[in-house]
Amino acid sequence: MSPRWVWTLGTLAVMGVGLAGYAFSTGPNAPAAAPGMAGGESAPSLALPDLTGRTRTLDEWRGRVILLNFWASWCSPCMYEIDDLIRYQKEYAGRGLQILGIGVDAPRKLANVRRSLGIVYPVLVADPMSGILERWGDTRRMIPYSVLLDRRGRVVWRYRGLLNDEVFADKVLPLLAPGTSVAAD
Amino acid sequence: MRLKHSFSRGLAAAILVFSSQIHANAAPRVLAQVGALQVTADDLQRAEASSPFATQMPSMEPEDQAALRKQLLHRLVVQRLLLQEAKAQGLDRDPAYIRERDAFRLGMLYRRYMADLKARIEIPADVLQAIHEQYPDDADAQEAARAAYRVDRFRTIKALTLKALKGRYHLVFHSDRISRDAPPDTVLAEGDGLRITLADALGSEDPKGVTPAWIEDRLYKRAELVLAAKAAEDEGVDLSRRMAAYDRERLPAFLAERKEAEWVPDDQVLRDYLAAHPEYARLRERWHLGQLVVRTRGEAEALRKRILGGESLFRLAGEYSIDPYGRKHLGDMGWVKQGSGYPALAKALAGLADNEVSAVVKTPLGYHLAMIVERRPGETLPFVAVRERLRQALINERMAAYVEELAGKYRVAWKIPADGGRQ
Repeated sequence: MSPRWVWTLGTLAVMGVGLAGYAFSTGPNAPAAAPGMAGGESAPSLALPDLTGRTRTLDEWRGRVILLNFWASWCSPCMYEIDDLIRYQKEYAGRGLQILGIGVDAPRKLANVRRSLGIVYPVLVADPMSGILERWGDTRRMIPYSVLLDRRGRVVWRYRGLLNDEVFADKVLPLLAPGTSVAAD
Repeated sequence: MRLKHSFSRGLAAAILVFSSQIHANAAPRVLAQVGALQVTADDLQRAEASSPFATQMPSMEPEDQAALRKQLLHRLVVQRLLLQEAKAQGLDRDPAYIRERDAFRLGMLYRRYMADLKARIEIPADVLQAIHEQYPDDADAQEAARAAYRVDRFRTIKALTLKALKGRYHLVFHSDRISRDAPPDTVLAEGDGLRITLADALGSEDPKGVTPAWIEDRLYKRAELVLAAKAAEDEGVDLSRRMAAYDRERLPAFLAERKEAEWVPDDQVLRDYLAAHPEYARLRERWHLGQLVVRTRGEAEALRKRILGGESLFRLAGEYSIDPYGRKHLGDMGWVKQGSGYPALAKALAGLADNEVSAVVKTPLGYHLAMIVERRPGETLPFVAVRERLRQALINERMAAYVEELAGKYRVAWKIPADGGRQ
């Protein structure tokens, strides 16, 4: 099992490189304790542009199990995680999974990564200084960071660190009922 | 085919197009035939993944990615050329190479044996349950706890295993023979198919600088190594692929090291090189530069008049300069080397007195006014200060010519499709 690293968003944005200054998570990768966001509560609203500039909202994917993944081009663990996320999207789209990549980075760099790694799910662009991570429960502003929404749009799980097959199977798969008729992306 | 000239713009463009296909295409594609060897897309992708810029590469512009891949491809082709030449020269049978290779092999067998030992450690169900209860919903902490348990168990199991191996191979130590004055081939330990001499224990250490206690410690470490390696071999651990990979990587480097020693046998060669290339030791005069840049000649001439009339170039730069850095720093461009930057500007500055504003100079950035505020004189550095730089320059020069020679000997044929394989 590969090690999971987390990154301090603000510090590394200043440093501007992905490989320098690794910081291992000092806390457990338990659900982040954001105020008013215990598991099972409605998710905050989300309206962000994608890489074409078109504004997207969560309503577009209502009824699906949504995995929001916060990442940036300078976050090297995020680069490793994306390969797995692509695989999950391809394998489980037909069972109702929808991964959304929330890039807290410059659009051009996000677009380059999308092209280079062949990301198959929507990539939305967020301003790293807009408070979006805090709004979604990552009060320590560390990435990679993922939030899982059930089919009713409720937050059921938050995770700081690299997702792997074990965690995905434990947390996400149970929400994807077999034989669902939701169309694949 | 001359390697240097074969990196045409067309090939670079093909790499640019092809680059987008590398991740999508699972089938290994041959990019270059180098004598009897090939460079495939898989080779290039592996080189990319293990390079220092691996994690930054996805966010780069396509042109920058293509430029880096071109460099990596060049390096892979050079490696193939050196590998074939190393084998042709019989370097794989060189005693020094064989010694290195055997040491690597021994280490790999040891690591494999210990890794297998560790992998066989099972964590009891009650311990797993306790870990799960202690760190619910925290996969990282659970994994760390499991790893800590395995480390602890491994310590005990390793000691017991080595003791058993010592018995299995009837290893006997001759500690009474330990002496730094003993002949290097003095046998300090032996068993079934095993022998450890003083030379083995010393390695590359000078015997004069070590104590008997140190030798004894090294002897036991060496014994651990050879016991585990012997056991791995007897259990059928197959390192043939790993050793083939070792040869592919190490032989080219071994040849390169031999050539470097041949090209730079002593410092006199470097001194002669410096005499032929004095610029390596020359530190140019440095100037503390003030500058402003504007869009039109008219603007520049008007501002020059104001500076000649007593106004500050720096204050005017802060107000009018279109150069973002210069505007932000009020025209203070810091210290620059004499002759650096645009040739027209360097020419205009040459011959100016301190604090004398230049004539208007046109560059692609706009119209410049500049002045030298203060100077640091140039100097000639001593040989010892530039020795390494000279060595590297000479080796780069000789290696480029050597690679061209090898490219002529082992034909290089490019197989990158012009359409990037999109058909």
